[in-house]
Amino acid sequence: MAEASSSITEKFFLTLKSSDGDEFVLEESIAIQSITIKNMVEDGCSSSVIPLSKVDTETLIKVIEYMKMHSSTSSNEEEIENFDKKFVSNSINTILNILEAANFLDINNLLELCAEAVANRIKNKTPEAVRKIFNITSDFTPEEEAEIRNETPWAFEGNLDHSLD
Amino acid sequence: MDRLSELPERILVHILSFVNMRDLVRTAILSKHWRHLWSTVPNLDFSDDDFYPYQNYVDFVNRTLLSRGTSKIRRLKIGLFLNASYRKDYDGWILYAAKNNVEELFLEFNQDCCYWFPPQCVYRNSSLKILSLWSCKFISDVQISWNLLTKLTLRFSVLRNQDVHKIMVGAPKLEFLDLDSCWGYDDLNIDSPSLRTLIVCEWESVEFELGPIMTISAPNVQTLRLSGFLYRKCILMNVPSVVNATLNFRPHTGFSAEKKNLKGQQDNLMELIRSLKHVENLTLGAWCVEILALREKKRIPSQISTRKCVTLSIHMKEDDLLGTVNLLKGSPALQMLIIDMEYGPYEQPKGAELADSENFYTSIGANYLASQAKQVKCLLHHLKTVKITQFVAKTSVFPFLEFILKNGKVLENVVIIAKRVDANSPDYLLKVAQILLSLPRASSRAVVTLLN
Repeated sequence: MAEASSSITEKFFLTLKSSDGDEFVLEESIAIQSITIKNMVEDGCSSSVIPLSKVDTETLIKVIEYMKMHSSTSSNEEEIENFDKKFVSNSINTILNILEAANFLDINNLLELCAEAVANRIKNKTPEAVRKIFNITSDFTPEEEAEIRNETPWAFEGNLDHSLD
Repeated sequence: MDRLSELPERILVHILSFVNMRDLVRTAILSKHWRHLWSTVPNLDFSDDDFYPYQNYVDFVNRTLLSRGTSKIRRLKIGLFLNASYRKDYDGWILYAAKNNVEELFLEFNQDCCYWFPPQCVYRNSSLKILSLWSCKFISDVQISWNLLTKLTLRFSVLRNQDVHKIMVGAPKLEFLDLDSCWGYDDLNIDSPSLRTLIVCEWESVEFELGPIMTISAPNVQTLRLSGFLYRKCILMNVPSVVNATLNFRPHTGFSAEKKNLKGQQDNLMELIRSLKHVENLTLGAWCVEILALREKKRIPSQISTRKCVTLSIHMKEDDLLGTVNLLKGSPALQMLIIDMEYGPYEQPKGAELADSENFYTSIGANYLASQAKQVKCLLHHLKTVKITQFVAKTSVFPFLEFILKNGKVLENVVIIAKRVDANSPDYLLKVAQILLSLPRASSRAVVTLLN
């Protein structure tokens, strides 16, 4: 009995609070993949609830899912690989939310994963498709655009992808 | 402004470091915010092998580098077809990168006949951490000084024994060395104290240029991977530190690919396996398992005796069963067997070499496996885990699993991870699971897990 209870108390838990006010309890060993949280723990700021004012509930759920899958106690490489593949197939808005959260929370692997996911939606796409995907408004005049195309015409030629996936 | 453009510039630049030059320059037209962003990305990937006309691309690279001035360059990658008329331009780019303290340099020129000689600033460089050189030849009196280099890849290049020696002396922090399809060496003396990973892929195109024997001595290497064509005898002289070893050869298909050569290749392979009997994790490629199958057919035992884990990259053809049994018999203390059903990039999905042997297995089938059970000693005391990754249905998988479950006295885990393909539908996998659960087990602790 004594042994069992001591092994339970060895696990520390943190409470993370999203910008929507929802609270999530997470093992400290998992949460400190975030350098921001790790620093707070080391500075002794983690005794109460950790408010994450820049991360909404939906995003925080995804981030926690990611951290749980990638924590060292979790299972094999292949599972992680499959998880990541599925993870980046989220909508671009969700990916941008997670990317910002990963930047704020300083979770390097997650930031890399999201940055690459964003880059994959730029790769081989026409500028028009990229603008639509990310809702970018061009502020160039048609003459200015023509000039830019003229600088590197080859970059705009060939089989570019018009799709918005 | 839109959300992407609103991201901190540091992050935008990071995102852009994942795309190649063609994609990168195209972002200039998105909006004024993006107009010059691309030119600050520190990773430059000029890989455009089929660009035409070549001159225009060379001009573009020249202009791009010129306009960057002295802004930080972390990685430069050039992947072009080698064109001797542009040697001066190439040298200029490399010099530019070296002056700006480039850390990762990939000079991956493709060629069909000639080599290029890297300029001086490549041989003596104190900022490089990762270097990849293709289709190159070192100048003969080269002096190498790579203080920070940890990772070196040479591909399709000429490398003489003395060049290897100079690399060992000149790169005190080198941890990873990959010699992919290089030639000109026959005595690899990899004595660097820091080197942990050695990958050698043998290429047959200039066979016997240096005689029929190649020796490798690598006293500190922990991970060793040998692959390519086994066209000359390969001898491991001194590899006491190796923990992970991979032998993934393809059969020699050169001028003298007659069957009589198979004996030589087989002996050579078995000798290599013998020199690696102390390693903890041994991985054997499809052709190596075919050789084991051939030995099994001739009732020749093989001594493999790896203690911990063997991985076989096979597709579970019928012959692979024989190869696997030969391996198990030769590894009496084996604890874990992994069968990876995914093919490597060069492997053929069919073992053509051995296909002409008599239809031995199909006639005797699972009975042959059963008849060998007593000789598979690892099943009695050691084999605890059997794992099949990238599983796709092959009839040979079932007799194998039946054999393992029926005879594995200390078996604890049988894990099957299904490959994500249409054939592995949920209905199908359910049927697989039912078959697996119906098989008798010798070990009461054996747990069978099927993962999708």
